[in-house]
Amino acid sequence: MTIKKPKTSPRQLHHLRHLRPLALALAIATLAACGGGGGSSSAGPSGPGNSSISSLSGVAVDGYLQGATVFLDLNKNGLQDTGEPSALTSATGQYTLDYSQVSSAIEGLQIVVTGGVDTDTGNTFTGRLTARASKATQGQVVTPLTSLVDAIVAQGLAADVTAAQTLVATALGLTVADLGKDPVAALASTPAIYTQAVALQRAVQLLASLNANPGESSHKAQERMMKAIAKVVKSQESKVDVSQLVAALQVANTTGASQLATAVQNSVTTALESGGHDSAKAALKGLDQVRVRMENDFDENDSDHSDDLAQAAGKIDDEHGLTTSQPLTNLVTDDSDAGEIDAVQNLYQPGTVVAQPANTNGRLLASNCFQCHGTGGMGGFDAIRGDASEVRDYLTKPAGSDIMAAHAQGYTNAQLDAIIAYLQQ
Amino acid sequence: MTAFNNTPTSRRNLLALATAAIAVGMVPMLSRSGDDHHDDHDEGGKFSAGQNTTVAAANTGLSGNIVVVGGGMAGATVAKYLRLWGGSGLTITLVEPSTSYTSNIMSNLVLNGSRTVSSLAYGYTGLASKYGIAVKQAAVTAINKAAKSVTLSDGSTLSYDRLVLAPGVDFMDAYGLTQADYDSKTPHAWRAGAQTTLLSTQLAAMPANGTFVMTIPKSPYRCPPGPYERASLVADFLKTNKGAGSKVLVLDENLSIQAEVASFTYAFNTLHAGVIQYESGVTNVHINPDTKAVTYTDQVGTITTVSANVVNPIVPHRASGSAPGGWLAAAGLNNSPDGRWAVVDVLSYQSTAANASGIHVIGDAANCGMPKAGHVANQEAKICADAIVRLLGGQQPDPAPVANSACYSPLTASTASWLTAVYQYDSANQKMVVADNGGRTVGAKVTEASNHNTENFKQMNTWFNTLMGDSFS
Repeated sequence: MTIKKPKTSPRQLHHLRHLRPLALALAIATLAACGGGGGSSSAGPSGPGNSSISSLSGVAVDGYLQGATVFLDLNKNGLQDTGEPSALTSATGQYTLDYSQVSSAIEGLQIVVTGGVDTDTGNTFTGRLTARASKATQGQVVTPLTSLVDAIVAQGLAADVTAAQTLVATALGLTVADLGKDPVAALASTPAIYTQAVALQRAVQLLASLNANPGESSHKAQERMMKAIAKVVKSQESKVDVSQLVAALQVANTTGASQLATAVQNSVTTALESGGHDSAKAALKGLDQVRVRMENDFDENDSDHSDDLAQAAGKIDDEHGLTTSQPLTNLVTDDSDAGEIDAVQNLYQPGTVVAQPANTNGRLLASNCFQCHGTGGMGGFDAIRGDASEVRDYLTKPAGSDIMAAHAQGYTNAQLDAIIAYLQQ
Repeated sequence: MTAFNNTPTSRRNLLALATAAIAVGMVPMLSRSGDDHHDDHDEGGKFSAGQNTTVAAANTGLSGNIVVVGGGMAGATVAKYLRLWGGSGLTITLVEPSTSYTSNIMSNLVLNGSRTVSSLAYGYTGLASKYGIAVKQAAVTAINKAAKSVTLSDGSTLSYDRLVLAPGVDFMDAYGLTQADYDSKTPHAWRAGAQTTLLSTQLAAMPANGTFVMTIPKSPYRCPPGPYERASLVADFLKTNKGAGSKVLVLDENLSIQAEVASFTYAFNTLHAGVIQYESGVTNVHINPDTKAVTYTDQVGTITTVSANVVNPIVPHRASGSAPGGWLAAAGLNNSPDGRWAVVDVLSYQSTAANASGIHVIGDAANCGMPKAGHVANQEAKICADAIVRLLGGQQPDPAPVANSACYSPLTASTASWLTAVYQYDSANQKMVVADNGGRTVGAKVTEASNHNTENFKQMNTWFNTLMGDSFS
């Protein structure tokens, strides 16, 4: 375990202003105590015992979630509030929540993960994952499966987390230990953790979209659907799979979600066997397009816009002019084979994920570059993220000789400096 | 880093760039492999290299419900940048009746057969899958400003904290013609699609040494496609395919060429001399859609009737829904003096109409002092997205936004010129004004290319692919 040295960023100081007076006093005391701390993790005046339990580290995984927000929900409202410990995940989903400034007990609070990019698909992660905080558990994984465990606990359907884990493990044919594993890291040994997790996540998101109440946020609807699935798990006595859990739900529009869960399980299993994780990523990227199509297209009163999985896949294939090969249609049918996975893998490759510069000064100015140099300055005529200082070379060229010269000369020097500084981050 | 004016960067150079980027500690972003047409299949490989990337959304902690109406250049861009800059907590819904957007930019190249309409189609898969934008296939029928909701053509309603309208333009009945005439006889082809194909077919069927008549409405009109560009391309096509005696009569309601004066003066008087006849300041245009007889009054008052083979009336436009009884008009948002446009505060693109709190208008429908162009709409969208993110966070919009316009215009099937401008905010007059020479705005002018050539034509494709990627991918 890595022990994180407490640091006080301006952002944290900002949070301090919103803490209650007592908490603030404690926080300042902690900061003062650690303020002069050296580089050694064991040398802090507060002692190794204290610093070792002042942070929660873990990993957020559907695929690894990059740049996702992780927070500890101190006030149990499900939303990120000022003063709640939060962190962004790394490129491999890693996070560390520093709760050294929290005066209350953190045991059993919800760790909530939203946003970022699912690195398996290159898509923005629009889901919501949760797990229960425990000081005893470092390296806490937060996955769709821990979210399901959490939904059981949240509804009091089990005595404790362990009992809830037992329910989920039994229902999905996994072990309690499996539920604490990083599904991606366990791909070689226990691929079922991953296949069940990604199937569950996609089913929940589709169900949430199809059953959202007016004005209900997507995350709230997902929470509601996960709780509904938790109730089915509670009444389950033998092994089933995600699609069977979904089919047994007491909510509307379960047909497509059940079909989707089956398709995800089958195609990802096949993909993992034939081409490993990369093939699985491609299958998921293709399946996510089908899912999103169903979410956006669904109209319960129109059979042309049903929640039938093959119908949505067929529409996308048709729009791509792939009416003969029908790669997505084949993928979502039950008999996925390696050849079908290959066809999809040629078409749906996950993109690269890029973080934005943290300091937003100059961001809007720099966005004037993106029409020709790509979003974030990543391509087009040429990439300018990192070093855009060449723009100054154009200030002395005749404006009509080069479109870049004409463009560059429309800015003040201060504006060019701001653009360059932003893109240098 | 290669220079802007070099040929589009090769894959090998991109890989070198990516390596350099890693060396300086940047995120590697150009690690595409395989065939372009297989990569990023969502859009059939239409975007430029380096764009099979997803930019991770900012972590803002903001929440809010934002409805975007219209999936063109402005609407797509604002939806994407609201996600990128506003974070994952925003609920963003894009309302658009079509399943894809057909680019107006480059659509003049359909007329000479060098592009197809389908090659200009951009779907919403990228926005939906990559950025978690909810795409609602419907049209807006009403805005309820008091309830902060919109009613859609399928009868459903969507409530909003912020509403961004990017509906584009409608085409007015003019010169004795109706919408049915535009659709079947005398296409304006000013919204890329079926009319573009129809006009292309009509051109292909023209007799040898025939006459093509086009009209240009008074400014403001949306551009591209550019009217002068279209005249040049049609002239190029006709003299190549239909004989040197072909005629292109350009009837301009404006008193002079409105953009790229030097390039198009050259194109009309030299490059396509003898084919293009340019009449400026015309009035009283009347077109018979069946006989293709066109009558007009020229600048000195002479009334002339021309018998044409093909007539292409680029008719006046107005903000979509701004006609009497339209949804925009019913909401009182078409508050320009002539009732055709929505006047906005250019710091945030919020409507200046009464009781329009939380309503923003961007793109061609807005009256913002900048050209009605896809490239400009993309930047208006970013300014609007930035302002909304700031407002949701309790801040004020950026007090000094900058926008830019860039446009390449093909003059022949293989050569192009360009036009560009940077717009700075003039706080005294609360307007966006052209800036040059170190950002100075006094006496500043839009810059046009000093010559047209094949290199510009190549750059045009890079510009187009990148711009579309920044908006839709």
